[in-house]
Amino acid sequence: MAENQEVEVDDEDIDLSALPDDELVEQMHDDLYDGLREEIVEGTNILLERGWSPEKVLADALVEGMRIVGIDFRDGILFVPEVLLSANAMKGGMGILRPLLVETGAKPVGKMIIGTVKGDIHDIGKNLVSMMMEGAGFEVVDLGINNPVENYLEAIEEHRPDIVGMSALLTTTMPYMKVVIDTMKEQGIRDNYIVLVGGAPLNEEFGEAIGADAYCRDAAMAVETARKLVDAKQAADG
Amino acid sequence: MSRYNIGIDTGGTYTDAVVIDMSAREVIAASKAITTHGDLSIGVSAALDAVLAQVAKDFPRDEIGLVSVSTTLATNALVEGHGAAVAVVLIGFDDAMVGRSRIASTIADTHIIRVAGGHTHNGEEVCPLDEQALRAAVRNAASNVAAFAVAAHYSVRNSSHELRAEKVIREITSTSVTRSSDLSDALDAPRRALTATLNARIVSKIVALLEAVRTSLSNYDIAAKLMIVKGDGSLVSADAVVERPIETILSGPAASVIGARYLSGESDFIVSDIGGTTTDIAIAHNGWPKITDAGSTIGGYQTLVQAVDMHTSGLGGDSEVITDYRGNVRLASHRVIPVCSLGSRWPHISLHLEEVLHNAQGLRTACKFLLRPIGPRSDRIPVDLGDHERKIFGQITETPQPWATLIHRTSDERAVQHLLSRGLVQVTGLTPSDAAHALGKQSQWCEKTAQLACQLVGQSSGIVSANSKMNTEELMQFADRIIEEVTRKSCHLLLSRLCGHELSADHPLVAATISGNSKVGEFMLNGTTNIPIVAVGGPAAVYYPEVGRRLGSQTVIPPHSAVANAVGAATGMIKTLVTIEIAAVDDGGYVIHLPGEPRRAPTVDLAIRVAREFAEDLAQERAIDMGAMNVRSTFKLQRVDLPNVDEAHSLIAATLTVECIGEVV
Amino acid sequence: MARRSGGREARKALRSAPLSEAIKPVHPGETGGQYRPLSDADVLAIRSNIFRILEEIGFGDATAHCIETCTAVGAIMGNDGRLRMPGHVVENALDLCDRNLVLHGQDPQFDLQIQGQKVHFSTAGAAVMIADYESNAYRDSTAQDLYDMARIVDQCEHIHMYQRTCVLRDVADNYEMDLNTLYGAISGTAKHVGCSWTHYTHLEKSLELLHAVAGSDAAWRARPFVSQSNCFVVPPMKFTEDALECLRVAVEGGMPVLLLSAGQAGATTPACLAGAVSQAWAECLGGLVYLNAIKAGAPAILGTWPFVSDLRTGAMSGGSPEQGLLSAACAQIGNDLNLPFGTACGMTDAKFPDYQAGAERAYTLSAAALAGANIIYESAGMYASLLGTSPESFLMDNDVLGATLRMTRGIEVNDETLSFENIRSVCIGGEGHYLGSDQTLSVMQSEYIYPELSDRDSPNVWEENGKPLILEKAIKRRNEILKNHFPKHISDEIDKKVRAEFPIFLSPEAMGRR
Repeated sequence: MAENQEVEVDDEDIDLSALPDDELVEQMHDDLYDGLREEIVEGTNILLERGWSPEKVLADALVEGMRIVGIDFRDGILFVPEVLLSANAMKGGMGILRPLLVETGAKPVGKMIIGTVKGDIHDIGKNLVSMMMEGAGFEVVDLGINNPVENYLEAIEEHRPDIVGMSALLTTTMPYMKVVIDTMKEQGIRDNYIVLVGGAPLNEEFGEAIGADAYCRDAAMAVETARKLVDAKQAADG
Repeated sequence: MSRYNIGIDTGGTYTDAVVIDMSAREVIAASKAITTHGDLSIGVSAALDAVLAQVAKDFPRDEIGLVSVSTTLATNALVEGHGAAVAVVLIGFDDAMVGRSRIASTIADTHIIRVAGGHTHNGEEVCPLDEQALRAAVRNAASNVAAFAVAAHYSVRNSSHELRAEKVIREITSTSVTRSSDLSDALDAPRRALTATLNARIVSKIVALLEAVRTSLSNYDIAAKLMIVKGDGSLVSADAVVERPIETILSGPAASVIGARYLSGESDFIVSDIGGTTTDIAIAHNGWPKITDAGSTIGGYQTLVQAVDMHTSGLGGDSEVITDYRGNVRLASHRVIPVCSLGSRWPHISLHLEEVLHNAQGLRTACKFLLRPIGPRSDRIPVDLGDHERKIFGQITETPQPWATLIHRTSDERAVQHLLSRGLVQVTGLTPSDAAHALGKQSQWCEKTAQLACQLVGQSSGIVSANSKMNTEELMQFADRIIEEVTRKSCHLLLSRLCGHELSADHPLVAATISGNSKVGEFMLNGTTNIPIVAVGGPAAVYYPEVGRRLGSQTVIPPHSAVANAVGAATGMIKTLVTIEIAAVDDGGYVIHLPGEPRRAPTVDLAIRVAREFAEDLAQERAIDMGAMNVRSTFKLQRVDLPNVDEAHSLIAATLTVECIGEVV
Repeated sequence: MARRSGGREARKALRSAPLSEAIKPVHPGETGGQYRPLSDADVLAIRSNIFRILEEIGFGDATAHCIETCTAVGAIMGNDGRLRMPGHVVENALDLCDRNLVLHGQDPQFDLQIQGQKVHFSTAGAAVMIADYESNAYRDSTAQDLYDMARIVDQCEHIHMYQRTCVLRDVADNYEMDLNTLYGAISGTAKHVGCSWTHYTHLEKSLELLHAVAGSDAAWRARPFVSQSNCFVVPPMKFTEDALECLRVAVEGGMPVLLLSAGQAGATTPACLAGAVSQAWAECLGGLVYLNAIKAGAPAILGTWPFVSDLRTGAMSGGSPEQGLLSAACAQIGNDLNLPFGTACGMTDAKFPDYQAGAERAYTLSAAALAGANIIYESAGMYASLLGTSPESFLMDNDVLGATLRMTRGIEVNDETLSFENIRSVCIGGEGHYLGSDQTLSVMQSEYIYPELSDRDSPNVWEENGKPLILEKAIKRRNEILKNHFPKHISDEIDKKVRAEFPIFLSPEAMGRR
């Protein structure tokens, strides 16, 4: 892991275990911000040892920290590589929490499949969304680029996600999103999934017109929208 | 316009009939008969009989231009899961789609035939229809089934495989064939298949009903046109409805909206139809009932039929009143026979009640009398009854008998509950109808029986003081509380529907409004409604003036509201709808998904023009075929455009709808 | 309780502060020379041409002092009154020329190494009007304008020195005008300043002012922070007396001199570009001979500033592509001679900051910078072919200059930047993209320059932000600077002293002092 060249990390190591809970969480937010994976792992373990439930560690320390990263990214303070570094640190923490969450039967935040539609090979935006969704605690299956509707259907079948995400960057490939959604409707499965769409040439109107649940302007928006819709869905399902 | 129209509504309990003088806009005769669920046409005939008996002797039957029927046939069939065994041909469905149609799991006796074929999203063939396999399967099944349904993948974009399959089936058998793309324009092949299957199942039933009604009419020398009410409130000719009987689900409720419109003169309103068992609420916009866009769900079946968005609650004039020792009064959601309704015919009921009052024993069950269902008797005893049940059943007759004389032990109680749930026996009880009669608000049944019933039940819970005589004041208070319960619950239902949200009755603002309180703390409740309430149904006049007052709404309780459904049937209009989809094609140009084969057009304008012409022609043709006059078309276009691209090139898809409305001659 | 340094607050502070030197994507003095409009043979031919012009044509109108000093080092005064310089005289001067020229700022952080093929940007110009976008009009320029522009340039990272941009039309007396031009410029910025004088006596007085500001004559001579822009020659090939006198005073006073040859192609230099380049260099080298004859090794910048005429009207055309070519070709010759030199490029004929302005500035600047001109004057803020100047333009031009520097800096090729191992690890068993790799993170700010005003947002975001246009943003920033930024590198004490002795036009309040 490369140290962020510009930020000076104190040579004397901070003893995380000496920090009271609220300060430890604050420090973890900063460590997540700086992408310090080992420190996040350490902090996660300390909180668990103190009796924090894995859900609380996830929500208060990690997901909240990534939310702050998302805000500064959107405001142009953080660059894309720095966000990815933070997401990587988050994954370190998730690595410890995930088996514990599964064990306690806790409800996962959600699961998403995401891919760029057929005829389109742009994937940077999609990759960013994947990273930030993982950073928010979602499980993400990335289908890559140039996906015909069959790929989406197969993935839906195999992974049973909460969210189906589609990305397109060309006006010539955008119409294909409607084909995927129409096919989901025709097969009678549309209502079982949340469909999110994104891509620079899209807008809200288009997303609504083709029958998606929401259009997401950027990766941070995608995370916010996904969280809102998955929560609503889980509440409705009871 | 014809001079006289007859409307007939086969409801859950009663079959109503009206005769309307169309130019005078007057209901000149109305009648009720018991609905004969086993064979609806019997009740229809009885109703016709009764209503024609009311008109003048020299009534000109040849000036009856229209007989229109709203029927529960389709709704009942779905709710009860009845229907003929049919075969459904699924073209181009994969296993998952077949599973999602839920045909196998919910309509067990359906013969499922799977055949290769189907189209893609833009109407191109995936693979040719396997006619050979189809023929073989149809030949195999034809003799065992009453009808066929056909559903193909993406048939709404290209229906040629369904048309071809229909042709093949007709070469082999003359039974009816339902095409899924004929019933719905919506994407969702599994649901289309289900809807088509359900449709096929009831074709024979509707044919039988219409035959019987036609026979009835000819017996009365009525040569009028026969039409049926659809679930969206419009009328369809008898000839056309045999192909799509599924579209008549919820026709009764839809008719009540149309009837409410006619009788009240309002075109935007919320209608509440309060009957014996249920309160049905729907909203009308522009004179037509608001539709469930996603398709109506009846009996657990998610159909794609676009019918009235009706909310039904178990709250009616005959809902059973339940009391407890803490003095609470509430209403059950099920119905019992109002004990006062039998009081006149069976004098021993009142005698029994008086005796119980005198003895001050057995007050709880005093009002419960057991009897066989009113209506045509069926002596067939279901084979799966246990011995005990059989015994109890054998003891119950047409004559109401006190509960206490038949039910002694818990096992007896269990047995009779089972018989009640199967509809094999019926029971009387204390109902709001009794309370209304006790208060003098209604008078068609026995007032004395009503008062005795209120006294007994009231006393049994200590709400009315124990006394061998009748305590008038406390009795009236108790009856008032029962009426209040109905009023409160009715307000709650309406308030929720008006707001468009399920509202908790416990919320202080809600509780205050529905109880008629004018304020909560320092906050004044001055709510009003944008649209008036039109209340119809037998007991509407008893409750709805107060309901309207509490909701701050203008309330209309039109005359003849008890037969609003039948009025709606008689005064309905013909409406046809044609929907055409247009989509941009990858290689430039546009495809127009016309019924049959899709067609191509090079520009957006041309595509829209072609689609519109076709849709207008077809909608008008269908309307005129059904005998519509003064046909008016409206055209709607919904576009899906690429953002920030100039209009000539931005269209990726469009849905074009033409709606034709016309009057029945 | 001890907390780790870093985190969000630290990052926000870091990102709102200027980048540290180590990771800045561009620095003053990026090395150019990649663009060579002339072939090696062309260069040789032009070089011989230059020497031939000096040897066979020479200069007219030399002053007595000039003739005397130059003939003493081998120049030949002809019977036709022309002063000719044989090849060895020129070679001599070339040998004596200070090739490690440093132009100092009042603040050492702004010192510029004018050497080799290092590229720097400066303003310049004697505009008489301000292009006032907001009132959509051209108005007279004033002393306040000059001072204000100095302050704005002070905040522009990629404008490395400030040469006066306009004429103080509100100061009637020439002496006071020269003096206040100087004082306004050196007060507004601590970067190196370039000025001009109308008469040598004004220069003498100005040197006194500069001694006061520097602290002493010796302090001034050690780090002279003002250079003189001297049009010593009136093309074609004629010396001019007043300027020569100013040159002499400057050299003797320890002030670096910008030897300017500013002919107009087709009018005062040949219309053929090769000829214009030759004459411009011949004229500058003539001045170099004289300067070194006065004092060997005196600091000098060879100012080959040939301009282009629009032959339809005869007027100057600063935004023409030919201008870019001329500057680039002059740069190539300058690099061949290994002399510190400057050229004028990046001007526009447009009246206001618009599409034409942006385009003309960008293509002419690219040519000159990539050709490796040591100082590119007029590179920001000049409009209507030097008749007008626009204060807010500097801020937008700053982005253009930064971008040009980045292109000049070029591409570093080494094992690390070739990224082979990175490619391998990303493609094989990796994530399939480079966005999160350590390498990307480590170079994201040093490998790429991010504009300050130019907008790169998507249309949706741009719309949400109120559809900002760059000119609006620049005007806003300009107002902020003018309202808040009053440099105080000249102390109040010295300012009082200066005001006591010299006629300073702008009030102390106007310059941010009580």
